[in-house]
Amino acid sequence: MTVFLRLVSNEWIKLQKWLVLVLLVVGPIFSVIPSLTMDHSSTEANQLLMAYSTAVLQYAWIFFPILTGVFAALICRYEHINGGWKQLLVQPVSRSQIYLAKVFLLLLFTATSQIFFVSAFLVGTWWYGIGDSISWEIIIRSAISGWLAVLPLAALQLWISFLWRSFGVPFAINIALALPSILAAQSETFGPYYPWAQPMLAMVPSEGDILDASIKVWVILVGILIAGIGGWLHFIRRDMEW
Amino acid sequence: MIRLLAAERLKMKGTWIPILLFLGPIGLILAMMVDFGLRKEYLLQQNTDNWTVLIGEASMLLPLMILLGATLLASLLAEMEHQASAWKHTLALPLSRFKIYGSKGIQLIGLLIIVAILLVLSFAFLWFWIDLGKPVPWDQFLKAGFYPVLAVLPVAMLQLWLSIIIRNQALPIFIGVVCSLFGGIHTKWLPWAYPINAIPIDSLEKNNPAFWVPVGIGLGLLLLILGALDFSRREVKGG
Repeated sequence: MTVFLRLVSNEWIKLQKWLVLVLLVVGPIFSVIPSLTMDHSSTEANQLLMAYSTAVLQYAWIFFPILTGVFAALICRYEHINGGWKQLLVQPVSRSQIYLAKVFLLLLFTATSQIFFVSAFLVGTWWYGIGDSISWEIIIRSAISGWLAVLPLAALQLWISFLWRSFGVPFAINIALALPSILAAQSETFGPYYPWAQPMLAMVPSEGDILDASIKVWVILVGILIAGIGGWLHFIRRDMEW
Repeated sequence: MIRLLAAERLKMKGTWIPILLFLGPIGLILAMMVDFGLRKEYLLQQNTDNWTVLIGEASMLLPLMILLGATLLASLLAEMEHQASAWKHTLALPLSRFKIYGSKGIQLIGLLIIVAILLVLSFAFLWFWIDLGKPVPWDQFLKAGFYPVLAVLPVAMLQLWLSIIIRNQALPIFIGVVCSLFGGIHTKWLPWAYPINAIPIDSLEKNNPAFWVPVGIGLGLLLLILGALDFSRREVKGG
């Protein structure tokens, strides 16, 4: 365990922390503000719920999946630019532990992003003084579901980030696949299986349990297993010639 | 200058840039095929002509796609130089830095024009595939392909400058994504709103191609020149 903690702190030191912080702060603010300043008064429904749904759409359609990819790339960046894979992998720790340390950071950052998004929304409602109330439960459930639903994508992005030195290529793939998710999400048969649509589907506020009907728990689990095990096996077996 | 451009073209071989050029138009075609495949009757019963329906549906995806595509192309062009320490070699050539930067900019414009041509073909393909009848509005296909792409030039040039002066491509791409997603929402004056402003349909308020396309071209060229001037005085760290 101490080895693992040392590895995590090792990864932490190599990160560009200011950049991570900027990334975490900017998105939630930009997705929340338009949703709250928009005029929702034409609808009968709960205005705050409407505003939250708009914010979710802004945040989870493209921004959150891409942010996950940015984090995965940043976590591997140090090794790619400084030839650091060799240095990292000659250390007397197993490759699996290094992989886990990187996964841990990615989990931490995506979870933090969700916390920032919810906080930004709550601060925003207070700032703009929107009257209706909304149950905390719905928002917290939505944030947790969104986090769970992004995990298959996170594992996939980490895998891709190991593979490519280039920063642009993983991004191009990520953006190109994130754009159609708005269409995929409209289809009940296809949407739940499309990794880029899963966070958005999972975050749409609802009354059910965490990861309720709009998205299937087993799909997420299978996604995590495939992308996680694939990335892990690739990472421990690959000849590091970079 | 022409030889510089030819050299740039050689460098692109074996990169992802050619594939990326096709990705956007193919994505648009697939999205529209699904959209019209599922609800053609519903879409066409609206009180407008068929072309307005098609471009109206496409305009939900097209501006964002063009903005993000310009961001990625600018980054990939810059990254070729950042990797492999190519700046050192390129800048050691007996050419002014202004020209070197300029050739990158012209190359980016060239790539975007290819995208525009592919978009025109995509609209034509969609028209016949969905079977929207006669007469075929060829002039509209041309406008719909070229106007939003020409209007994206300011953003493209801004991204080119960012991608060249910042080595870590995470930052310029991220700025590009955030601005593309949120920069055009509140005002029509920011460059990220130009592509949607320039889409040639009447049903969108605040859009007026006759005004926004020249603004886009003018501002784009201005930003290219400013970027080149800035680049000529800057220390570029080889790495």
